[in-house]
Amino acid sequence: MNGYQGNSGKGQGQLAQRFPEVDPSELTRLIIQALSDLGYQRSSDELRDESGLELDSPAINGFIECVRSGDFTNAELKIADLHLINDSDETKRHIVFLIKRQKFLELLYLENSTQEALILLRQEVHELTDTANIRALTSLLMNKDSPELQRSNGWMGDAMLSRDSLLNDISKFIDPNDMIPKQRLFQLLQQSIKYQQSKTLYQFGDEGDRISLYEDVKSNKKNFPDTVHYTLTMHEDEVWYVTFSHDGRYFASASADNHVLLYDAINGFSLLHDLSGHDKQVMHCSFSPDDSMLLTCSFESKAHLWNVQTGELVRTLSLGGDSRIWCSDWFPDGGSFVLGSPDKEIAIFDASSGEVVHRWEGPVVNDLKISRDYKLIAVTYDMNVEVWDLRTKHKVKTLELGQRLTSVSVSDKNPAQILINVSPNELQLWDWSRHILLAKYVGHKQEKFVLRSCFGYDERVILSGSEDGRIFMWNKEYGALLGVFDAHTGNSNCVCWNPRIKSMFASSGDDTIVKIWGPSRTSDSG
Amino acid sequence: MGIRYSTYIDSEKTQATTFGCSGCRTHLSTSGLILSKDYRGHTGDAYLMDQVVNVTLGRREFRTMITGRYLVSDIMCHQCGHRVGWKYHQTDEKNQKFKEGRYILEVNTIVKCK
Repeated sequence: MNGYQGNSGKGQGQLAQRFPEVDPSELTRLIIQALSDLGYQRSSDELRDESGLELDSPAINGFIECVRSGDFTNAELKIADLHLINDSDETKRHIVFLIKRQKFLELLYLENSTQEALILLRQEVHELTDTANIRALTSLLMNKDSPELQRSNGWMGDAMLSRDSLLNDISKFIDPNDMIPKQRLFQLLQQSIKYQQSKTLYQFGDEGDRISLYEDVKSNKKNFPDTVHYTLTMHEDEVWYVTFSHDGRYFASASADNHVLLYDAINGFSLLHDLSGHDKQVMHCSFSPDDSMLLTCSFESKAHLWNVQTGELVRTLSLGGDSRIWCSDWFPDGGSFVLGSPDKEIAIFDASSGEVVHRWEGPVVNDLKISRDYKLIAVTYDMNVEVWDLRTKHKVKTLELGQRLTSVSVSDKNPAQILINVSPNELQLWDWSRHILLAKYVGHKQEKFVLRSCFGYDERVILSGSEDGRIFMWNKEYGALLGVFDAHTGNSNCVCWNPRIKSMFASSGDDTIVKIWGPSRTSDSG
Repeated sequence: MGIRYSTYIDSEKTQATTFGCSGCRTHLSTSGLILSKDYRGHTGDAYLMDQVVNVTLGRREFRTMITGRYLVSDIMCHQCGHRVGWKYHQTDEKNQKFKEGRYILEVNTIVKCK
């Protein structure tokens, strides 16, 4: 029960009837906190007086005062007065550890006394915690300037920020009635907005659209890309792959007519180059990170490297022998690229010399991608996802999914997230590092063919083709179907999102056609 | 038609050779499934195979061959459409019944794959 019962305001009985979940004195204390957070200290104090409610219990206030002023010895003594959620010796020992760690950090960064910090670590901190924490602090001693290590060990750059962060860490162990978590009212409001957004799936408003606390989040389809803006008809056979360059300036389509076409994606998708040179169907292409080169893979067991500016063939690559080359991707630094083969090979090539610098033999590779943190992610005929670290060349993970995996995309925002086309009739979003299936997307048809999907709209939606020629769009987080578009006859083989224009994507089909999609222009563009 | 999701034949652990389509190297069968090498196709030597994968069947039709009359379909690589042989569906010849449900692969239309 609340130990700091104050004077009830007028009308509280009525409110309690309408909002039985909202405790009036809890809300009042949150308002006192929020006013203080907003910098209205006078009003905050005023409300404290009027309501007779305290923000934190007197014991807590004393404790906070000690931590804020750097009086860590007294802070440790006051731990005994705190109401802990789990009042065990272990919790108390952990809180002591956190306080001593702060002392250690201040010795290290404020007093610049590595020696004293080391003594503290050895004599006092050592017995309080596990080796992992000690090891983390030791590596900080060695690497004083690593911002990553600083943050993970609780040093926020200056004493005040670090002490506040320490209090925030400790607050998790304290009865919330005694110490309200930081910025609690703001957290609640943010949760409420997120909840509303989760119930309102069409969030396709303009970039600057404000969310107002005065009204619920509304559905907005203004920039929902459901309309064909361009139809590109220059291929003479099925189109199997489409992709935008990273800077959004170029667009490439690869076709069973053996040609790759390069378009100007900024000026009405006019044709820049007809890249002809492959003797067989072209099934894959990828732009180099700086968009100066385009790598294309075809059925003839050769990959071609093209100059995007001039359209000239720079180099022809093979895996040696007759191994087919079905997929490729670039290292984020552009210095190397990887070719993957269904004939059980993966090879790293130096981009400037065209020489193989590393080679794996192993599974039949159906598709592969490289994440921005240098992981090579392959989906294999063995129904596995295999992940290699490109820096060490070691395999770091195998996910045995046990279903047919036809293609893979990797998230830019979270490089551990991968989107996989799973046959039959499913897309799966995985976090490979945590081995978690995050979401499934269903509705489309994929039984016999390799179809490709993508993230879109700032990775808020998932898009895939279908063997019935339609395109399906889902909300990424909730898996809800947002739209189904009639796009092609035969398969919709490939879809890709423009990395620069938030509401533009492209699709390609068996009908030899490429379509560029965007928002409908019928409504006023405001 | 799109890019087919193909079946792969793993001959690595067996001593056998994998046969693929000469057009696109899509796996079709393996030397371990050869019933006889003593056949002739449209393009020359041919093998009688117990089983093939990754093919589509053409129209069923009656064909008269040296050994009799058969109901057959041409078989095409499901990826690139190359004609690689035929399938025997049915025959009335009593001593040729063993061919029913079997396939002919023509040597000139296939390649050895690893």
